[in-house]
Amino acid sequence: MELFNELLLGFSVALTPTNLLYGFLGVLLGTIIGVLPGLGPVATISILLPVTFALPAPAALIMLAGIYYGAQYGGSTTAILVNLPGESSSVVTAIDGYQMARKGQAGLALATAALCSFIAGTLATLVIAVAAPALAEVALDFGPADYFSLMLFGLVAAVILAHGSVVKAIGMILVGILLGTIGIDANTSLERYTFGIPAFGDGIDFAVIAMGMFGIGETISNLDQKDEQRSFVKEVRGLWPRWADIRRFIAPALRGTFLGGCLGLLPGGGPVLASFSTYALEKKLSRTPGAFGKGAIEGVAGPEAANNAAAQTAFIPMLTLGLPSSAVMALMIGALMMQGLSPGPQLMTQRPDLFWGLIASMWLGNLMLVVLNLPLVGIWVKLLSVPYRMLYPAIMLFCCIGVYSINNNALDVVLAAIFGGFGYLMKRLHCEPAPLLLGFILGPMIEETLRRALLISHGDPMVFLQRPISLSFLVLTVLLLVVLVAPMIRVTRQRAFEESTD
Amino acid sequence: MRPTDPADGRPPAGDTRAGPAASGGAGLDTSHPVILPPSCRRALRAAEAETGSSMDIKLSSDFLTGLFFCSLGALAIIIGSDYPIGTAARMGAGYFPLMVSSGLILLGGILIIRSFLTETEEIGAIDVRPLLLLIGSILLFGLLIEDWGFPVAGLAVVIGARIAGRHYKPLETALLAVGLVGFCLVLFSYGLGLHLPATRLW
Repeated sequence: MELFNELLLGFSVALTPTNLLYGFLGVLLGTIIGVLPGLGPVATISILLPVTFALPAPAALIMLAGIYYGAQYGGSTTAILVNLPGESSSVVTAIDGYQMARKGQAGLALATAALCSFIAGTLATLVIAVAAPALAEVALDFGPADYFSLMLFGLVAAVILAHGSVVKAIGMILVGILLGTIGIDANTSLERYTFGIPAFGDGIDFAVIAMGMFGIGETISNLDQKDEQRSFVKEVRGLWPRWADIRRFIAPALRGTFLGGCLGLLPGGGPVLASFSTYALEKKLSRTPGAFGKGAIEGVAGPEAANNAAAQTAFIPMLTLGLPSSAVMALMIGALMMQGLSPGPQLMTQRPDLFWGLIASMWLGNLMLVVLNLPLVGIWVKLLSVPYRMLYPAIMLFCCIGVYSINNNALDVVLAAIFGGFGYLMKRLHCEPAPLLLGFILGPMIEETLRRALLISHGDPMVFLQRPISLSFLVLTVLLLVVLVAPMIRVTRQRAFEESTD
Repeated sequence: MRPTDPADGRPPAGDTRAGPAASGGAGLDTSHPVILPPSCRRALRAAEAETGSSMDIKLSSDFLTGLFFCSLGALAIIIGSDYPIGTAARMGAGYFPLMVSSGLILLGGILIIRSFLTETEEIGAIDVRPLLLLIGSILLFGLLIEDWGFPVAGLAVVIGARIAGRHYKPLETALLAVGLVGFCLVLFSYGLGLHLPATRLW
């Protein structure tokens, strides 16, 4: 019953009044910001990140996890009520959720989303508690070469995360890695790309990049969009699902949890992939597939459960291998590093309080969501009716305060402004900011493991092929690349053929 | 309103956005002349004179991205040219950046070549106004915060950001700015104990 003892330890950390308060605060703040249209979890976490810097490590992590769940649920609320998904994983929720809301079932849709997320969250937390320690044990055998190949795999998998061009996504990863080399080289203590500015010696703060590209960049794109008439549902009635509703959504929720939980383990786009494939699955299994897209409760339940389960299991590679599988996890790793902790297999043995506290708070965060959001749904609706022209100046002010308070350095604000403009322009070039952030976080680790692996092998690159773990990741990477590139070649060739026959 | 404004020679019809953007631009010139750095205002006016605050770029997005990747890679190689490369077994500080930059140039090259071979999307219209004004107002916050304190910098960023959007109303903006700055002062400075520089008026 070791697991129970450990979970008990976790709950004893998470259940201290202060930590509980921070968790609650995180869920509340996360939902408040996440509910704002156009701000997904990544932007929300980036904006709120500096608030956690002053906290001790367990409280900070618990608050961040709360912010994450709050932001995700807030995104679903916006998707259902305004038909404006904050991020790609709630796109699917918007399809049927908004239709339900228009039919006067907004309350039911919101409650379904919350309850299914809770079911999925509970099950997925259990999976993490069981699987993570086992995986961490395996991870202790990883050498530098294995880590290098694993991260390579993770980065290529992250390309799935990006919409559109594979070449551009890989390019953005490389730009991120290059940005990550700014600062004093750890091995030779030589300054790289610092332009003689002492503040650059420690490198650019990842929160500056995240807040610039996601917080500021997104706001510019939102302003750029032409005035659209947002019709949203102001009346929310009938919050509690009836027994018949529960019977309808419980099976899709469980199927979604399973599918989402498995897909979330894969690096790259877990929640997005999970919600889309669950929607497809439910539509296929349904006896009335025609109802999908017109407000089917199964179309809200399945994907919501799936994206929450995937969002949870995405913590597994992050906690055991130190490998972020999405931009959100990259932010989490960044936050851990700010606290002076390096995520990886050692985390569990070195700081069991933190590890298990986080797992316990994941479950508590999910519980708080249900407790907090169902009664407060009226407030979120009110918040949605505040016009955007009043909201975004506030968001900008929060961004500025947030960036400035990281180091009390005005240069960070200037940098964030530059990254905001850069992020917006890259978006207009159809380059997503998420791969860049992932590259930025993983870049220094990749360089370090590459150097160490080649130092041990005396410069022989075959070391990556000789170690079985490393080899299998490399094979997976190549397979993934083939899968990614193959349709592109087909489409391009098809286009070329069509042009030649014209 | 400047008297020259209506006679700017803007096409009266056709571009539907010229109207609101122009009146917003005029409002910013008269009521808040201090908020914007002159270079920003000049660029804005130049852009407005062209196509009414938005730039229509007819270049392929693949081509421009490729160009950006290539130039960034080249720049990184040039700046890093005096970092020691070392050998694979004992890498110098320049080894890894050189690898990454070369990869970037390669990808940029692929994009450029691809943009000539296949039809790709154009970038289309970019609204310069929110871009420049929003970035400008955040830059202003960065420039003001140390010497002038948070209240002044905060007011600047809220007002600047509000001007960047459409349907700008001076009174509403002023109230919003004062309210938000006051709220943040209470929440962050006193509530969360963040150190924000104070404004000293004397």
